[in-house]
Amino acid sequence: MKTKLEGVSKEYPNVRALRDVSLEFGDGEIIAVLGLNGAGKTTLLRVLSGLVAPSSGKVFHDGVEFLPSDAELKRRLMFLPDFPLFYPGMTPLRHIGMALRLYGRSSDGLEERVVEALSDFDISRLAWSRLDTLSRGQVYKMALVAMMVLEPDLWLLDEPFASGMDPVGLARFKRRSLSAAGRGRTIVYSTQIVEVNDGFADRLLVLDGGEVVAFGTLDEVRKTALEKRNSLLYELFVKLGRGGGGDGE
Amino acid sequence: MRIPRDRAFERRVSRRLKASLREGGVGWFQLLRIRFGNATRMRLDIGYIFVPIIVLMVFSVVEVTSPGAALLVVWPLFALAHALWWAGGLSLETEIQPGDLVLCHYPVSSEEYWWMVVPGAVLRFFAAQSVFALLALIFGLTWVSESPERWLAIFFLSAAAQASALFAVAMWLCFRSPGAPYRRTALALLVVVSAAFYFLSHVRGGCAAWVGWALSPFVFGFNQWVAHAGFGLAAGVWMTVAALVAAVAAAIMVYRGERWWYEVYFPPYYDVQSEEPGDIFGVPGTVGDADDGEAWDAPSPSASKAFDSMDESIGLELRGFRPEDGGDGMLGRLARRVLGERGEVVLDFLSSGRYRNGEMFTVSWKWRIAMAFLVAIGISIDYQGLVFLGESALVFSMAFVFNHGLPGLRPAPLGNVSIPLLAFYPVTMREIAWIHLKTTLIKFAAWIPYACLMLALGLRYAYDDLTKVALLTALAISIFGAALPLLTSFELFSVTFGHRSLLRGFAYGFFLVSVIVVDLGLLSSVFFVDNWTWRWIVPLLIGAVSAVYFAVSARFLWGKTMGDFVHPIRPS
Repeated sequence: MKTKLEGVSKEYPNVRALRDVSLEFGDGEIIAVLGLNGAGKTTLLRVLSGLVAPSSGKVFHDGVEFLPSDAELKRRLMFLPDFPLFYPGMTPLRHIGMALRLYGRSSDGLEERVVEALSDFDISRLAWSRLDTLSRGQVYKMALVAMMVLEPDLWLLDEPFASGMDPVGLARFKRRSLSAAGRGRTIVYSTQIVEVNDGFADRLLVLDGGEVVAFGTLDEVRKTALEKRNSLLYELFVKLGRGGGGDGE
Repeated sequence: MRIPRDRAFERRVSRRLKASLREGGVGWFQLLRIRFGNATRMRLDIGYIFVPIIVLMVFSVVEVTSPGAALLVVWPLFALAHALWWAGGLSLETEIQPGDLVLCHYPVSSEEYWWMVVPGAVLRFFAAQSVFALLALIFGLTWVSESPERWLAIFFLSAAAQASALFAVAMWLCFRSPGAPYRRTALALLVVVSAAFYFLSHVRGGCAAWVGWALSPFVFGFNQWVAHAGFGLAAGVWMTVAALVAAVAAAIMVYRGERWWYEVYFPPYYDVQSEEPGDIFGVPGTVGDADDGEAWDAPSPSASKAFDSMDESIGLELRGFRPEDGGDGMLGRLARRVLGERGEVVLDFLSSGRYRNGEMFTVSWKWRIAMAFLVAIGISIDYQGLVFLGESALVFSMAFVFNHGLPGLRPAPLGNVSIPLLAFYPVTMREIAWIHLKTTLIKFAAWIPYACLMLALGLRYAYDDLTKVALLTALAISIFGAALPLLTSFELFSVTFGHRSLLRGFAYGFFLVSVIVVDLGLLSSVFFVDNWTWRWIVPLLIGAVSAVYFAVSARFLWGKTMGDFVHPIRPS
């Protein structure tokens, strides 16, 4: 899914979460959104998902202006919050079935896919448990399974690497995401800066105070950081040796 | 339209999963454990389904054996049924309550969302209320020819039912429909309409009382009127006062918007909804605040007001706080402001007794005292006509206690409200346990004089066996309800001070004894009730209700309050 933001700002009472964000990304890309707490990462994902409407500016998905009430476009994307929301009394199976229904998808022929995904994430045995009895990581895995079974065009994930998933789950998530990107799915996820040097993301989007301070490949972002020696970007990306650049100099 | 479910899909996947697990070497027995070991727990539909049936049974028995006398049983049973209904309906509520936030994350348009969530819930609520209102009306009509007070009482009952149904509808619409079309307009309209209905339902009761009083000499004869003049007069005064109170309440409702409802009527939901520290909460008009400080684009002005004046409604917001949320959301800010350095503010606040249901605790307490005064007036006037006043006040009071004084059906207040919150702060288990006990005892103590008064009045003035049965039933069940919070205290102390088995055994023993007390109290009626039917049927029926009550409550307490809340807390 090709996505474009034009001058998007979002203001909450007393807080300006996004400031004039303009960017574009396309099919099969994996975008990591980086930034400190409060940088606007989650807000950006929410705006992209239609959960929150921008105060100003526009969002386009595949050239169509995206409005939060546009259910058709919403069916082509999925947002996974850092704490996936669920009905406590439901089981993972019911939750997945519900998600399929809400997305207007037929469940016919998806059984193998569900079973395989559940097994892959090692939660087969929890398929009949109440969701409120599962750990956070297990719930996140369940939500991921739903997302992967649905396989929307645009995946929006808030802090998947801080979701409580075990290393095996994280590895499976990466593998499956890369595979989905290979099939043309676009994946945007927010994260802290520490794990961007593993080649998972194609491009990095760095936010600071709601503004885009860098957007590009790891090398491009590092170059930008070196150009702004007194900036937060420099401090985080170069001085602290993050982003795979050692001391960066 | 409800939250969609694909059972066929679930069955198909379930079959394949089982086959897959079997291939992976999982044995049949193990598979059964996996399949059913953590299966969806029994939901509390029991009150929802059985209570109307029980009420009907009791009505039928009373009507057959003692025509016209059932009203004295109707009140407490109605109220008990109502209380049980809250518990029974909870399963339905919990199913959709968090949907306010869950569904936001799916491609559901606001219209679909609204239709998915609101109408079914409203209909269920309304249907359940209607059952009672209808029963009351049917039996009321049966008794109309007998005496004026029946007619008035039934009117009162139906008005109360109508008012509660209207409140229910309005409440649902307010709190379940953040994505509803024209939500703000609808909300404002509903506030005004419901307030008006609330007022009118009482005015209607008041008018009915006065008109009934004035017309009854012509309808029932002068002698009958004289015999019951005191009751008619009292009913008229009572209903007029109620109408005036309702007018003030309605004005407050309109002035303060939905917050008034929130404080007064929402708590029964929240008491159960807030069982988990990870639960998601919305405050009126601000669904999503617990999550990110804003959802959608239209935070209600009342949200910021509620936040700013949190000292009045802090208990509500605190219960929605998710410690892991950090500090960005409204609840995070709230908690920061309140908790201070070491949580002393919370401790002070909690120990003041205002933690529960916002102002509800205080209101309920005052109401009980007011009721007690009313009963006392009834006692002091030893006049044939006004004895009815005492009895009607008594029965009404019992109804009130049943409605508002049965905490046990909900998990004990602090057990599910503040313990999860406090557990994340440097407050020791010892402190929590003492606070819990203190607040529980305050509540218990507030109830005791009232209960004694009721007992004294009942034994002195109950004019027939049925009244005594109703009285003892009310008293026993009230004690039973009051005992439940103490149970949580015992459990907390057992965790804090050790001797766990001993204290837990004592706690549940105490609980069990309270059940036995209920039944003994009921069975004791055998000794002074002449009618053989009443000797056996009522105790058995009420005993059955109490057994269900025990089972449901125990399940709540053991499965939820104890297991989920106490164990994760670190020892001091």
